[in-house]
Amino acid sequence: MLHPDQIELIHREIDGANAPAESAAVRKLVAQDPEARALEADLRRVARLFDEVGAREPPPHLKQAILAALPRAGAAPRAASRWSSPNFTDPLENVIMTKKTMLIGSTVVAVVVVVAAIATGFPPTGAISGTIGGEPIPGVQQASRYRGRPITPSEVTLDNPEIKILFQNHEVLNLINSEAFRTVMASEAFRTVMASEAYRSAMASEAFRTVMASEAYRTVMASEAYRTVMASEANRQVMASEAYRTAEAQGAFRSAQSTEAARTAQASEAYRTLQASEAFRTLQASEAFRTLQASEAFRTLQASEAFRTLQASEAFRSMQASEAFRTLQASEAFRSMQASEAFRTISASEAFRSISRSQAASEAFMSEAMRSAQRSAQRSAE
Amino acid sequence: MEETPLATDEQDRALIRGYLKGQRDAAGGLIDRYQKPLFNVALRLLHDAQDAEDVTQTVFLNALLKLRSYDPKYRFFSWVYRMTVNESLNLLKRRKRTVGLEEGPDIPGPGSASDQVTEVQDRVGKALMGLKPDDRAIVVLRHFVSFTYQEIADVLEIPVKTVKSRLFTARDRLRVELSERGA
Repeated sequence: MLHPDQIELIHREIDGANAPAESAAVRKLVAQDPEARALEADLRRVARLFDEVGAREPPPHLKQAILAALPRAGAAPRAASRWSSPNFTDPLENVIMTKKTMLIGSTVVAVVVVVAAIATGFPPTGAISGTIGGEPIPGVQQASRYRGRPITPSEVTLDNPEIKILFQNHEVLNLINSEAFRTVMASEAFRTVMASEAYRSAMASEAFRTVMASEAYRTVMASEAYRTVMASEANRQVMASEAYRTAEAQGAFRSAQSTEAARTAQASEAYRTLQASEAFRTLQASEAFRTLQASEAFRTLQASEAFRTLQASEAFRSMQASEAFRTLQASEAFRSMQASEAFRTISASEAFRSISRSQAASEAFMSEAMRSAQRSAQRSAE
Repeated sequence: MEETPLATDEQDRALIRGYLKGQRDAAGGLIDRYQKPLFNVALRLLHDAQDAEDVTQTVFLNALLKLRSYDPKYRFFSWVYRMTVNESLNLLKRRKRTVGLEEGPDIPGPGSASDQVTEVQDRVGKALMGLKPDDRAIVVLRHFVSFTYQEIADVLEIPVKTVKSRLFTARDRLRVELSERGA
C-alpha cells in the first residue's frame, strides 16, 4: 500500500511541481510498484481529460457589453456621473432617474418595504396589533409608511445580468408598456418626490444601504414564502381595497395610527383575509423573514432620521396619495411583476446591489425601456 | 511547475494606470487579457454558459469600477480570479435554493467541437459538479488555468498546504468518478 507521502509525490508529479530529484523518485517508484503505476496512470488520464475539455471562447459580445456599462471614455471612474451624486440638476439625468426609479424602485424596493409592512402590521394599526405574534417591536414603525420607497439609484445598471433578465421578462415589459406606468412617469407628484431633498437624503443614508446589502434582506427576497404572499389573491385584494387606499392616501400609516381610516383598513375584509391566508402565515413563520426583522440593519433603517424625514415630507405623501401612483400599484402589470420570478431574482441578487452605476448604463437602460414601449405601441397600431 | 503567463503583473499595472487616467482602451486591454480564463473558470464552476457569462461580466464591472481602491501591492490577477470564484460560489448558493445542482443546465456554447469532445466535456463537467464547490474551485484553477499551488492559495486565501491536500483528495475523487463513468 502506498504511503501518503508517495501519493503526494505522484500528485505533484502530475502537476509538474516536483524537483528533478523528486521526479526521479517517482519514476523509480512507478517502475517498481504496480499500485503506484496504476495511480499515476489514472491521474494522468484525468489530467488529459481536462486538457481535452480545453477552454471555451467567451461570447463575442461580452467585451463590448462590459465596456458599454462602464463610465464614458474620458470620464474614468472618478469623473463618471453617478446616481449617488447629489447633483441632480441635469434635466436628462433627472428624467432618467425618475423613470428608472419608478421601474425598479416601485417594484423591487417598494415590495421589499411591503415586507416591512407585513412584519409590523399591514396596514399599521398601532403599537401592538399587527405585529408578528402580536408583540410590539420597539422602534418598528408601521410598514406601510415605506410603501412606494424607491430603490437607491446606485443599484441600477443596464448590463447587470439581473437587469437583462428583467428586460427579457414579459411581466416587466407589460409594466413598462402599461398606461399606469407612463402616467406615473409623467405625474408631477412623482417628479416632486424624486427632486426632494428628503428623498435624496434617504437614498444616500447609510441605513438604507446597509439594509440593501444585508444578507437577511436578500434571503427574504429570495424566499418562496415571500413570493407566495406577493402573488396571493389576498394580498392583491388588500392592495386594491378602498379602505387600504384611503388610509394610505391620508398618510395614516405614517403618523395617525388611531385614525378612522387606519382602523377601517384593518377591519376590512381584504385585510383580514390576507392575515388569515396560508401564504401570509408561512411568510411570517419563515426563518428568512424573522431574520430580516431581527436584523440590526433593518431596525436601523426604520429608526433612521433620513427615512423618517422622507416619510414625513409633503412630497412623499403627495405622491402616495396621487391617483397615478395608486393606479399603478393597483394595476395588473405591477402586481404581475411583483410576483414574477424575474423580480425575485433581481431582488435577491448580489450583483444588483454591488454593481456600480454609470450614466451610460442608465441611458442605455432607459433607451431599452423606451424601445420596448415603442415596439409595443407599433404593435398596437398595427 | 511553470509560472503561469497570466502572472505578468507589470502589464496589468500599466493597464490599470492607463484606465485610471481615463484611457478607455486600457479597460479593453484588461478584458482582453482576462475574459477568456475568467469565463472558463466560472463555466467550470457553474456548469452553465449563461451563468458564466453573467459572472464574468459582473466581475469585470466590479473590478473596473473599484480599481481606484485597488491596492497595487496585490496582484491584479489574484484579485479578479478571487472575485470570479466568489461570485460563482455565491451564485451556486442562490441556485441551490431553487434547483438541484444536478438539474442545472450546461448550455453548449456556440461552436462546440465534435460530439466526442462534447461528450468528454459533459462527463468532466458532471464529475466536477459532484465535488464540493470549494474543492471544485481548486481543481478548476489548477487544471483549467494552470495555476501553481501558491497562486491558488493566493486567490483563495488559504494555505498552500490546504490547497494541496484538497486538490489531491478532490482529484482522487474525480479519478474514481470518471472511471465509473467510463472515461
